[in-house]
Amino acid sequence: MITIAIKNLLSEKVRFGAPVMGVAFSVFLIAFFLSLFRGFTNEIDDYIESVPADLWVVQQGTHDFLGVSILPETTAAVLRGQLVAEGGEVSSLISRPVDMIADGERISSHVIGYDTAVGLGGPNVTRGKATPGAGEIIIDTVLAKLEGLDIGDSVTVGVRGFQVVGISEGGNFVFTQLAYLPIEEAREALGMDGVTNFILIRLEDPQQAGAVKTIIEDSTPFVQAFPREEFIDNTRTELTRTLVPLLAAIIIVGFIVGCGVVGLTIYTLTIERIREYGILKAVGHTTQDLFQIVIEQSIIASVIGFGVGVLLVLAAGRLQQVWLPQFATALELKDLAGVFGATLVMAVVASFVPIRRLANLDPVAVFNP
Amino acid sequence: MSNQTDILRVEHVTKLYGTGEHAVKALDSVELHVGSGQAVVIMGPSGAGKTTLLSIIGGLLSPTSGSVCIDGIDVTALAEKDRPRLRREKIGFVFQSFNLLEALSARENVELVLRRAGVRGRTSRQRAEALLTLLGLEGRSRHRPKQLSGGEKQRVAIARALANNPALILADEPTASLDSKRGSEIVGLLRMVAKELGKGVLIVSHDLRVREVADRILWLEDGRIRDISDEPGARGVEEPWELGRLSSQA
Repeated sequence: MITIAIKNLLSEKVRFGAPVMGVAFSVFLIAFFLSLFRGFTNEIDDYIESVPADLWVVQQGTHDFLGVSILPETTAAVLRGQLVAEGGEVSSLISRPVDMIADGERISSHVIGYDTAVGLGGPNVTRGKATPGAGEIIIDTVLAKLEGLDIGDSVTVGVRGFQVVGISEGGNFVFTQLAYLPIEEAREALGMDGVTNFILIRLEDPQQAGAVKTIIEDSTPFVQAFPREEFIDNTRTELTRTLVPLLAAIIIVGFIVGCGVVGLTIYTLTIERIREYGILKAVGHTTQDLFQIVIEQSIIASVIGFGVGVLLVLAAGRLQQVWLPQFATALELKDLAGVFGATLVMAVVASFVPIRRLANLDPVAVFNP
Repeated sequence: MSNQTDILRVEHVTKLYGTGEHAVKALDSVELHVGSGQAVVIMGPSGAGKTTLLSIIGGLLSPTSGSVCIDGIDVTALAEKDRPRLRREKIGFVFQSFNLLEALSARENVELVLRRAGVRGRTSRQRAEALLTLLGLEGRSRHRPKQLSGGEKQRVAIARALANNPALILADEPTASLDSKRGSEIVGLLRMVAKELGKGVLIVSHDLRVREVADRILWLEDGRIRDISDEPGARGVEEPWELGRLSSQA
């Protein structure tokens, strides 16, 4: 039966192209947005995961890196007093979206002020100085590409001017990119004297994170402490919660478009060849045989469309890296498997209407010339 | 008159379309039989019920009453789901408009029924090629229907009808779409199918040339059938309507 399905499809190559491109478009839509979503969450994960803190201390009510957290610097000092003696490290971290100025242009960025002596929360430098000093800033490579900045250029952050001394990676949040300053410079530039956003704690024995969390929360008012993995999970969940409805809408639209295009073309192909289906029925094929042909046609077109769609996603990923470097994409195998499953469902759903038409086919019509 | 070697036996078949006052009797207690190696021709005016009768014999339509037996199997008693198998194994169809699948080559059209019957690979190809050769289509097996002449298409259709070695061939106006020469060739082939291959052949036609192959000639009009084989002039008249006159005089 598969021969008939293939021959029917190939007999009209232009017509065959329609369901293939319909599915390819749907697969592209679904898979590309999934890969953007994965890339987006991976990028943000990248920075938080690169910070080797065992505990993230935040203002009560904040659960993730994207939330607003303002803590008095005295809290950090108290924790430092409690934990440093036991071999731990305590480091304040300023994290604030800021518009920098470069050549008179406003540049969206996210400034990280970190304790350069401790190093927690600092950049992963690929070029230039590893640690910024006074009047120096390190910027993410995506920010550098987007804004045409490089080592030696000058930018203004808040009320202070800084010279770019290093380029880092792993600080692309898609809608903004990280720029790293020594914490004292960040405080001065942004007017954040006496406050910090997060307090990072690295313990001598990471197994003690749970116990230390309890001590911190019991002894310090208005703060919460999160073990590293929980904080990463919370951030990922927050991102997902925000993006999943949008992603779901795109996937549903893609699925409907795919079903519609494949359904219409397979239906048209079926109606155009309705006499041939009648012939098959007359010469001894069962109604199930005819259903099989229609479903096979739909599946063949859909599977080829899936392949074309995946190629389009890969090509778009390449182009996006050149034209929109802030949008990272990540095509994961499990996502592809899911999209392939959706494609097969699409093929079967699209066969429904043509099959209903064939179910009522009267083969007696084949006797008419 | 029927006997035990009959491939086809149609007994008291009546077909009504509609119900009550609006019922139309398309076939009225039709009886006929076709033996092995026999060619029987049914002629008659348009609307006489010929297509209805072929459809009932082919198991594509159920009669209102009566029975149809093919090679010992009562078609009318078969469940709907069992009829495709009967059509595959016992009946070969030849249609007026050839009814080949345009996307398939001549050989693939013949293999269509072979494959459905479970014959695969080389066996299927060889059998299809052999049938096409038998019907004079050597070297044309890879051609698509649109690359074949009308006569060649009908030969492919006959090869397809013979593919599963059925007992009965039902031919509906097999020469109507062909010119005189090609029509005669097809008539000759149907005769060969009956006489050399031993099939029962039932032909519905307006074409007087098919009388050449007919062991018996039947006239169907207003749903009633009559054997006019032995009527004087049945094989000599030159207009189909004259056969109808013979029938009414009888």
